Amino acid sequence: MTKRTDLRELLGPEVPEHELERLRVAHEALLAAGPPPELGPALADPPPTGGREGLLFFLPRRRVGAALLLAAALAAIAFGGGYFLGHHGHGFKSAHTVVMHGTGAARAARASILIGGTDSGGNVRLLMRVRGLEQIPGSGYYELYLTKGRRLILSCGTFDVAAGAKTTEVRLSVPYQLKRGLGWIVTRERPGQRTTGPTVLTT
Amino acid sequence: MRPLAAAQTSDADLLTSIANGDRDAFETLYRRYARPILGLALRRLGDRGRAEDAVQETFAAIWRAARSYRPERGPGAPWLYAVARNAIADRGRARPEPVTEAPDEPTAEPGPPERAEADWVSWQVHAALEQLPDRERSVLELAYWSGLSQSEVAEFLNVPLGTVKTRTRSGLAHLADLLESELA
Repeated sequence: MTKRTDLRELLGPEVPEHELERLRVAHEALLAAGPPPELGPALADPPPTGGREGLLFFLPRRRVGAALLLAAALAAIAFGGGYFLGHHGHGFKSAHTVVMHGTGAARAARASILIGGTDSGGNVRLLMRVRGLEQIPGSGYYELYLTKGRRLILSCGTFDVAAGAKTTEVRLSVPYQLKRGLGWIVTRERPGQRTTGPTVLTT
Repeated sequence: MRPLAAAQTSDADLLTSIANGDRDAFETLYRRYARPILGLALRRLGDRGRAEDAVQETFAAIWRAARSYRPERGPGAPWLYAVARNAIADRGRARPEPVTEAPDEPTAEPGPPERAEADWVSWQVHAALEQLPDRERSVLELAYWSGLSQSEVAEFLNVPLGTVKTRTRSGLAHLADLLESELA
């Protein structure tokens, strides 16, 4: 979190004082407002519109869980997931950043996904940086899913975090054209379970 | 990436188009205001499920009632804020809060006027953020709320530190412009 006194440090010494005072309005407003929430899968797309009188058709919330589980099973079969590569280097150019926040017991967790260009095979390159997730005992792992609306559409791969690691950074790629309105979730998984585990991070 | 033209279209123009059944305008308005409305709903309702319902109900109301918006009476943001506030209040009434005993002593918590003011400020800032170019918005969100230092933001985005500072500067300038025009 940037502190109130850090605006000069944030912008550098070359910014003239009169401009700094003007920018301070926005700076203070950002500090006062706090972070906006990320839209979860349920709000990734605007609701469908119909006539002026009746109009919108929503999936009842109680059915969302079952729909997600079914979609997850189908997605896992259909796509088989992407892959992660260990990453400690540089050279990743991104055009867009997606911020994820923790849910439930992992409320303090945070992650960002940098969306890069496509490789020679047409796969979209991603760089994910995760903080605040605990190492899962045994053979457990985390799994990243791409979502659209309330559906899980693609398992992007699995990863683990080391005990005590401050930040875990992984590269991955997805054979999918990323468009606005898609969401992401990370679930906590155990081998052999038949349904998708609980969501620990979401956009 | 949002189209520049969409980012430059005023709320009033979008509402006028929505009143004529323009689905693209509705989507642009959704991209601009879904997060601010969700933020407002989360602060007022304290429950993500109910807050998401309130967001959907707000946009349902916007689609239905856009024809009642009169540009000559003022900018679109306060009208949208009122629609959202009503939808959130309706959602709040749908499941009343449990009855609690009144405290014996005055609380240090902000009262309704202070909370309303804070809600309005957050609404304006979050809506303005959604109108910034992606690269400026990303840098501001990382710089202010990710916990990363500027050097870490630069490393994270794989751009020079100077670029982070430049984007922060231009992002804050655009944000100040937007907030200024909102308050004018």
